[in-house]
Amino acid sequence: MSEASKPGGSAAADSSVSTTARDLVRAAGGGLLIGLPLLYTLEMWAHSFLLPSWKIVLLIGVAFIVVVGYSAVSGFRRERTWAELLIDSVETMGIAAVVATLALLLLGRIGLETGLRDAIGKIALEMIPVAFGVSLAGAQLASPDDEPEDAEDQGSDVADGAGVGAFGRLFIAAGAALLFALNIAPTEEPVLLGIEAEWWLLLLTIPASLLITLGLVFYADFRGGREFKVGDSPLDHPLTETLAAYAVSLLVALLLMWSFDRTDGTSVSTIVGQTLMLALVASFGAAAGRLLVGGGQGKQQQQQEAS
Amino acid sequence: MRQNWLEWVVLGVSVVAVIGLVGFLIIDGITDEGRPPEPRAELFAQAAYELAGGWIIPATVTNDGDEAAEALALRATATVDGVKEESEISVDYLPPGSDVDVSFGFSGPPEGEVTVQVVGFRLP
Repeated sequence: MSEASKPGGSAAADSSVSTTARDLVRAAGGGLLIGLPLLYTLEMWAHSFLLPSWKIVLLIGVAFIVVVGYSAVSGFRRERTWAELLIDSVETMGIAAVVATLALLLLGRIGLETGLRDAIGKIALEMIPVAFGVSLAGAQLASPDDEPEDAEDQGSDVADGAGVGAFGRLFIAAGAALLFALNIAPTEEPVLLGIEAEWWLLLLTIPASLLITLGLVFYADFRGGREFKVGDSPLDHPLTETLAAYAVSLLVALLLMWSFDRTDGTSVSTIVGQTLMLALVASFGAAAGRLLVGGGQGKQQQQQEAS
Repeated sequence: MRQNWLEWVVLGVSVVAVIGLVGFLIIDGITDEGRPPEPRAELFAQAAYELAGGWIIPATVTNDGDEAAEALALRATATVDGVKEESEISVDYLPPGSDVDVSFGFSGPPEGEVTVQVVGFRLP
């Protein structure tokens, strides 16, 4: 399929080393752009040895699924069969590992005197946000020249944003929620906020998250925002989509709290408190993610389909 | 699929990096016996130096266990001018298999042996 779907002109251009080099620079830049805040976060360094190995492997697995999802919607490279998609995702993780290693070396977080397990743990944890950045670099930071002229004509079974359905959007929402909330999750602050907040403040975070994200995606008229329109799926209604995205955000927040050992030996009320506080952040990420994939072509195509 | 040598290099490095990282962590997870933290301090008496009104003895603290020690506190005891002196140091994190350089301070060069005792630590 990839041969047939490739536009003739770009195949020749793709084969040049300079194009690949440019892709790599873009990938590394995107990775650093997203990864640097967490490369500078003390708790990330400490969790590299505080977390057991199996948990780090599990987190890399989750990150890999998210990267595959991102690459499916729009990736670091354009031509994609499922096999190519998986290979691209492995490359994304690999580039992220190299970028994270170089950054940690430059920041003096790892060196010759660092224990091997400690160093590997740091690289493995820090490569996760970097991988998200690498994966987004192709999608959102690509220059307009690289855009496929007509995505739907490529006949790829993994379509661009235009073809993302309700569940695809929720997946993107989850990935974006993870990406955004990951910046905050390792720190002490969500725990403190959760413990110190009054019950009614915690309760208020729920309507606050729902109203703000509903407004962002369906009312504020951002590029990529959508109009109030009821589609075929029950999740196509703005209210149900907002609720579902919030539920996803709660799950992401809980997963993150669990990942950083914030749920062990902790009372249920503390877990609920910190999850709600982190879900407020996650739901913003989820909204931003839906704006990014719901955009441009998608809106037009939806309108075409509607008429 | 791969169009030039650079893409092959990227793919090769990526596969090695990902398999290496995940493989190491899996093997580490399997071979992890869950041994508790075992902080051990090694003093370097020959590297000791004088400070205005004090005597500094460098040491390296190593963790031989499988788990990290948090808020590790160490106490060195020595005899200076016939008087017993104590010097305490705390280490925020001591990862398994890693070492941290510390220094103990006394009022003067100690006579005889300096002993280091683990006061306590927190488990992650």
